[in-house]
Amino acid sequence: MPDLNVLRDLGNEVQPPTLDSLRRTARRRNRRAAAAAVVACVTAVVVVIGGGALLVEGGERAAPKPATRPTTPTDKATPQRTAVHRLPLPKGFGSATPLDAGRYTVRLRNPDKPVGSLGAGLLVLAFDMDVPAGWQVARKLVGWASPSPLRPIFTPTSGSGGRGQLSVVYASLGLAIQNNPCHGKDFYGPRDIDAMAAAISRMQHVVVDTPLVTTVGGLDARSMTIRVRDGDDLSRCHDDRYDLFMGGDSDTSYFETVTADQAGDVVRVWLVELGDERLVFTAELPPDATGADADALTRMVESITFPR
Amino acid sequence: MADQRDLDDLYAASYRRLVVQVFALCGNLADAEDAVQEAFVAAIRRGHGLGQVTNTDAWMRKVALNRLRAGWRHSAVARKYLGVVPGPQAPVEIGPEHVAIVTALAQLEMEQREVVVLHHLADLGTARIAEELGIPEGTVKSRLARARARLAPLLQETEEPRHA
Repeated sequence: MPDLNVLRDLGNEVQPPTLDSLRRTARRRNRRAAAAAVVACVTAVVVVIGGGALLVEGGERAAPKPATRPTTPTDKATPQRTAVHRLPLPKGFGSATPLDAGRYTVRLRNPDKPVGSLGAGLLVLAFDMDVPAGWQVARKLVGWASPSPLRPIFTPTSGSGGRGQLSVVYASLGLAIQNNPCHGKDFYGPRDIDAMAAAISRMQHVVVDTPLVTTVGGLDARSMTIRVRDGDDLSRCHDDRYDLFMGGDSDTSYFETVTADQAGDVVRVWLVELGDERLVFTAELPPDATGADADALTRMVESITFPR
Repeated sequence: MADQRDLDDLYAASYRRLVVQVFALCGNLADAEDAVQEAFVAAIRRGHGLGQVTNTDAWMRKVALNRLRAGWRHSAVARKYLGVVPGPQAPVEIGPEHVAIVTALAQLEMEQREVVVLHHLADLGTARIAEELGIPEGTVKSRLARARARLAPLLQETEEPRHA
């Protein structure tokens, strides 16, 4: 295909900026990230001290608040909670690791989070979650090359007959939400979960339920359901799909897009506030998914706890 | 500072090449330059961690493409929080032959465009592309074949005026 070589010649005309100018940009971003980290630490200290004072004082405000939605009792397929297993993520792509029914620790890494000496691959947080029988875990492939360190994907095994998938993305700097998911333009960049929920509610072409105030693992959260109308023609859209939203952490290289690929798709979203972090759990259900499939995904999210 | 020299060498060797590859994918040279500059900023911030990356070209491509997708960061809100990259340094004259090619490429699905660019502009073999994209080699070959089949008439059409 010799025609493409014409583009190579174009490269000779491109004038790169000096690498020092990019180093200056990198230093500015590092300084801002460091400042943000300091602010977060100070905020955490204030919250801890303030919370301690409230506990000492006692009174109504010190009492723990119940979750707005009680945790659904686990079914018979859900294992005992005593043992928590490390999640056996496959090393490569295209393969998934079948999971025994059990409770697993999902470790989320943020490869580009570090400031100063913390280094890449910093473990940001982990959560525990029940996985029922007949499920597996894979690494979501993101864009060009490597697996996502941020987005493990849980799906039913092929033999289980189940449908759907559960994933999680970071959204600490905000969530990139398409106003028009069909053509990939007009991004919003809301940074808190209420703003994210509002932006999702404004999304065109899809039907979005009113956001619910809820909790995930005892943390403040909003949940909502996005539905692609039956009979909707997604072939008119860029890449024949709706690009609903894109997660990713502060300056991370690993952006991850949640999509709806066909008419009748249902995407349930939990937006979770976690200190200065935000997580988005997404349960995706194809049109042929059953109520049991939806329930299984919901129970998995409701079983989540964040170990101290 | 071996890492600094490595990065200097990498920048000198691959900036233009990456810009062309990303341009072929997105069809906008300014966006392509921004994305590649963002990738180098990410590499600089990674510091010694970049030494752990086994395939720097693949890493830079991936970061650049993801930056491209993250166009929202260039919004006014994002600029408030992030230092911006310098952007294009000089205007580049894009000829009709370049426009014709990126227009033809734009007719392809993104996944087909990726394999075409990796094969014909990044000069990677199908096995290497499969490794980089994390898909079976057979899938790479089939995407490449479908892409060529779609591109052939498009590029022929675009060449007719030149022959005329």
